Amino acid sequence: MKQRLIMEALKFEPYLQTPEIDFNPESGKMIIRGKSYPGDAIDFYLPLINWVKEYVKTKPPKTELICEIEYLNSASQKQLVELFVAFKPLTEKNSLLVIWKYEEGDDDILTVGELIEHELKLPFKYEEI
Amino acid sequence: MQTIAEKKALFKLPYHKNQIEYWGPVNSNFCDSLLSMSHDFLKKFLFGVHVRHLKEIFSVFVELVQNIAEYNQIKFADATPQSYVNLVINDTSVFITTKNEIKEKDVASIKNYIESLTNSTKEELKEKHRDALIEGKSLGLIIIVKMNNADFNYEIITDEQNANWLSIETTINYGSAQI
Repeated sequence: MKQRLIMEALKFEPYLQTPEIDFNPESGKMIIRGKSYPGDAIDFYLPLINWVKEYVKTKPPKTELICEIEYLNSASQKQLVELFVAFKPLTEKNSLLVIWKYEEGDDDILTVGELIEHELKLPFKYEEI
Repeated sequence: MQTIAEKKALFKLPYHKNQIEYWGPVNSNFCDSLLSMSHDFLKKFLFGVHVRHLKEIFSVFVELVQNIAEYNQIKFADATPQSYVNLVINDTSVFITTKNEIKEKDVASIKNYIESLTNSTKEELKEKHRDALIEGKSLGLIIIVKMNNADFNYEIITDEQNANWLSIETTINYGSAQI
């Protein structure tokens, strides 16, 4: 039986303007949690995007992308789209689910999720917290 | 070189007690520090205000300040020009004002872009938001103009040295949501 190559996990602690990142390739659970408004959003998100591009090549059987975002500036919104694009190949085998958590009444975060879901055709599940 | 007092006089700038005010170079490093500080400032002065309104206020401030830093970095790479940032809190509203120098050749395109936003319906703004998000275009002002509780005004002023200034004034009403 062919063994699947497991990558190293990617973890960033939350900082002043950047969210917590906990991408676990073994469990397939990818967590983005907190505030995101770095001045240079590309600088923060590019390593994540590159990591995901490698991750999807390992053909993981199941991936759950859990987004619990408190605040997103416009530059982070654009980079988040790029991050989701990197996950998109997983939809070919129905192995991706995005769980989009948003605070009660936070229409802005909900709208961003809905736009990404609609434009990138990704499977989303919404959870109000 | 104009003094700060002269620059404030040019824009008839007010003074309020609960405010953050800055005149000086705005670049990405400064921007990060200012935003971290203003986040704490807003949480302190708006304690008890619904988190949704806090996010709206912070979002306007972030987008305006980061827009200036990005513009300065791209257009004034050699020497970051002085810009103005002001945030004033009163009992029911927050006023956010920015003034930044813009290049003569950008005046018409900036004016046209802002007019295209302010003349759009809510539905059109939603479409512009979607398009900008997917195409990676500028998004900050769309987010601000789209807000239900925010009143957005702008003008482009030419000073005595023939420098052009983009002046943005935004009022965010949070009064109805106060706990």
